[in-house]
Amino acid sequence: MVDGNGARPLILVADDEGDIVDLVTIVLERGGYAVISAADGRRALELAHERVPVLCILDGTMPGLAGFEILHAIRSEPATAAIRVLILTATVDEEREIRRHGVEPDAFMKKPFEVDELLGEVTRLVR
Amino acid sequence: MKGVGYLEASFVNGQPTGPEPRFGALATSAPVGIYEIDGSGDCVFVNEHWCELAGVDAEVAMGRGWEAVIHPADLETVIAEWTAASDQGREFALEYRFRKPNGDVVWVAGRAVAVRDRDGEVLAYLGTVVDITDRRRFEAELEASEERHRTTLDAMEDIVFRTDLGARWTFLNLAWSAHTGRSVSDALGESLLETIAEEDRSAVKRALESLLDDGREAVRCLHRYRGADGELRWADTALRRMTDARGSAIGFAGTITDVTERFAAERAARELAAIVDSSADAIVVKDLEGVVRTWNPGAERIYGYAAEEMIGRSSDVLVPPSRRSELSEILERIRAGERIESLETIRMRKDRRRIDVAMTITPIRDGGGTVIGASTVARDITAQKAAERRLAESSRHFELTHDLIATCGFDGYFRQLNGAWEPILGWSHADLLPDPFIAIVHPDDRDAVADRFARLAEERESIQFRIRLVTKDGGWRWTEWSAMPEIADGLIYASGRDITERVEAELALKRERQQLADAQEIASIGSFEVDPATDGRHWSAQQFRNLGFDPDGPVPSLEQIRERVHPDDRAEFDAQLADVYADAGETTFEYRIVTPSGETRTIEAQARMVVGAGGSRRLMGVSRDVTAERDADRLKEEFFGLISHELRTPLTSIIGYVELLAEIEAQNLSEQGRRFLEVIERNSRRELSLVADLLLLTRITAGTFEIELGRADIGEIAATTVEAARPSAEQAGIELALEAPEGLVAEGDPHRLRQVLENLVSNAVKFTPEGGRVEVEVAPAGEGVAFRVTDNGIGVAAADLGRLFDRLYRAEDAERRHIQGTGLGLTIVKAIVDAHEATIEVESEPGEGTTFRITLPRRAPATAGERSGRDQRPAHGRQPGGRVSERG
Repeated sequence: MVDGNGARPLILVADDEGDIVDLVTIVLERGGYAVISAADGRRALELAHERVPVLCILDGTMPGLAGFEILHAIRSEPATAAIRVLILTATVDEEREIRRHGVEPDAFMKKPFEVDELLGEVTRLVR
Repeated sequence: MKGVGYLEASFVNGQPTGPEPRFGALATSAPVGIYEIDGSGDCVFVNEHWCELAGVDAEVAMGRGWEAVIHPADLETVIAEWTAASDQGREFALEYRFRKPNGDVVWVAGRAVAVRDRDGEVLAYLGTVVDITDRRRFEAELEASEERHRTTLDAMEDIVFRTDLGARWTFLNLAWSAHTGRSVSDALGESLLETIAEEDRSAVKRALESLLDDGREAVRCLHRYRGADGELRWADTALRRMTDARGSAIGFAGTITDVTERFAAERAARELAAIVDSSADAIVVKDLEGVVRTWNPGAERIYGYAAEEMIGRSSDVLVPPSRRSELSEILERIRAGERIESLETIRMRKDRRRIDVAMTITPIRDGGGTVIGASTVARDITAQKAAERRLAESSRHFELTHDLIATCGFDGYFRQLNGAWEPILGWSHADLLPDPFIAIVHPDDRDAVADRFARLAEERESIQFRIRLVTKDGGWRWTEWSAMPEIADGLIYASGRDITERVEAELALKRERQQLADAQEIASIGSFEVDPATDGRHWSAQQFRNLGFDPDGPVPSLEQIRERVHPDDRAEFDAQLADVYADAGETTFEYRIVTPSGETRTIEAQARMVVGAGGSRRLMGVSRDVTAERDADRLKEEFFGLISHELRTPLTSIIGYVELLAEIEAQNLSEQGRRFLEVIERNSRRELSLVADLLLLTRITAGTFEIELGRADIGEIAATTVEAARPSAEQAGIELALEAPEGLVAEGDPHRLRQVLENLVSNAVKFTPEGGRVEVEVAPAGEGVAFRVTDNGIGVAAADLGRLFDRLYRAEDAERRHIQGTGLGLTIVKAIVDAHEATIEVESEPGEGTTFRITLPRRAPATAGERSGRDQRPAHGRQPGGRVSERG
């Protein structure tokens, strides 16, 4: 998959679980995306500012900054406000998180996820 | 006899009354001399006694013969007196002498009356003569005796005196010594004027001079003199001028009468009269006929009649007609000399008004002791009587009242009690009067009572107090007292009321309030009440504490409360209040409070607008500090989150990489390797499902399980669930049928309801042997939606049916047949159903099959879903338990 410039859309994946970063990276690269990754929230936010990816796939419960906090920061900054965000989480109560942080991600996906399901959701978001 | 015949005819004023022989005989033989002389002066009759006195025969006296019998010295006097008496038409009376022919002289007292005819013409004179010779002689002897004369004078109480022209004493009788304390011999020769008190001396001197200068014979004067005791006394002195045979003054004579006592008596009488006049009482003197003789101003005031109206008139007018007999009874008793004291009766005023009077009636006697009248002292007691009647009436009130009324001395003993004591306390008056009243005061209250009494005696004011009194049966009653001392009487007047029921109610209320307050404090529940009309607020102590206010301070205003509400919650807080005010309904909501110390608390409030009968509205409610619960919830959530994360994260990698392996590397694996991969995948999915169920069960157990109400399209859920289950059903050789009309949308959590259906369908497939059939049917049910899962499988034994929804319960059959499962499924189903306020029913027959039916109570409103946040509610506290019906 390429964008209008012939480049692959850039997706940022952030999770403190290296296995899961790898899993998601493999799935996305196989799906034709360029992937950058971070192992914690702070690094993820830096990358989001530096590289301004099309989509961020953020773990909901990372040390440092968790997914919703990064989401809040991204949305607060005009330069990054347009970045789509998908929250991947093993915890279930996304409604509470939305209420607590006052921001809503573009998509929400529970762990564990079906590989195809994830790819399908990403495709929908990047399109 | 002629004389006798004459007398017969002349005795009654000359009216002949016929012969009276007895009288004729009396005249003849009477021991008085009797004679008759005709109009021309000729004697026509003398009786025998006359003849004896005159010493002559009757024949001698006849005609003018009687004149010779009269003493020649007296004849002229007799004739002069006779003529005068005859002229004046009066009785002739004269003492004169007879001179008998033998020369003896006889003194006689003669009396005679004229006998006249109807025209007043003298017919005759009838006379009598009595011998007074002896008396005359005695008198002569008396006069003759100087000594006897003095004795007489000396026996007199008044001073008798003579003086010369210079007013010097020449004679004083013995009374002089008695009155002045000085001897007569010392006084003779002194001037009369020296005896007179100095201030009166000139007046007496003028009196003496008047006797000499004005030719007056006698004068009297009042003056003072020094008595024997040295005190000034009053005297009434009569002075007479003494003259010699030629009429020349030779001195004075007179009497001095001591009138000191008389004056004192007169003054006393005047004082008495003044008292009578000034007395408020009516003082009336009446004679024995009841005729008024005196009438004082008091009588005029009381009876309304003036003295002129009443004196000489019968006192009848004062007596009301109904009491007329009373008057004669009183007079009867007075005549008998009886004194009547304090007679209370009714009299009638001049204006006919009746008045109550108290009378004392005393007989009045003359000098001889004979009752001649009565004095009546009457007092108007109308006001007093009215007061007595009022008192009697109020005494009746004392007896009628249920209050305890007592009069008590400062000595602590009862004096008087009303009739309420025995009914209330059981003590009779005989029980209570002999002992100090403290004896019936509850021991715990005695000190207080003693204290009150000391205050009563010192401060002399009315006091109120509340004490317990011991009853005769050993119990006690609460009484409330009001007592007032009357120092003058030495008494305390007290009135008490049995308030036992009230006090017990108050104590019970107090206890309940305390319990409520304690309960509120223990449960951290505060209560509040607001009157929207006045914004008046009442808060329980716990309400203050819950919201971080001082319980001893004033109830804060709404604005003060709002300031403490967490800024993020204010909009919700306002909206909730506005709703409950507008709808007069009920609401439950949570908000956070930030206390002045910076602490954040979560308050759960329930408020309800209560509309009273008159349309009055009151906002009532409770609030609960749920901070600790919410903190615990949050901790649980975090824990569940952690567990969930920790369990799922490895599964995520396992499942993900297995999937990648199967997709990317499958061609590099052997057949056996691919089979192994499938086993890993299947079991990791089972593990995932198990983790999901476990987490759910943990939440249910912890009470934090929540559903998210929204639109649940039951037909769609049923269809997708059936399709998902179809592969495994077909694999097991079971027919799966669905009957679900489109558009049946219930109010519910679609995700959870799907879980319910998945569980039921999976169970049905599990417990149905090969060749069996499982049906899923969705249908409207009243206001809601029902769905049913029916199988014709092994069924559930009656013994198991009741425990079907128990946590982790597995039917015996399932164990025996080694049917896979944790027993979690139906527990989760039940929890989800309960959270939806839905019902679940199960019917089963072993060997025949089982039917589960779930009825959701409400269809979804067209716009449902937006308010999910507010509608989110905890599953616990909502337990409309599922219905289990058994069959067979």
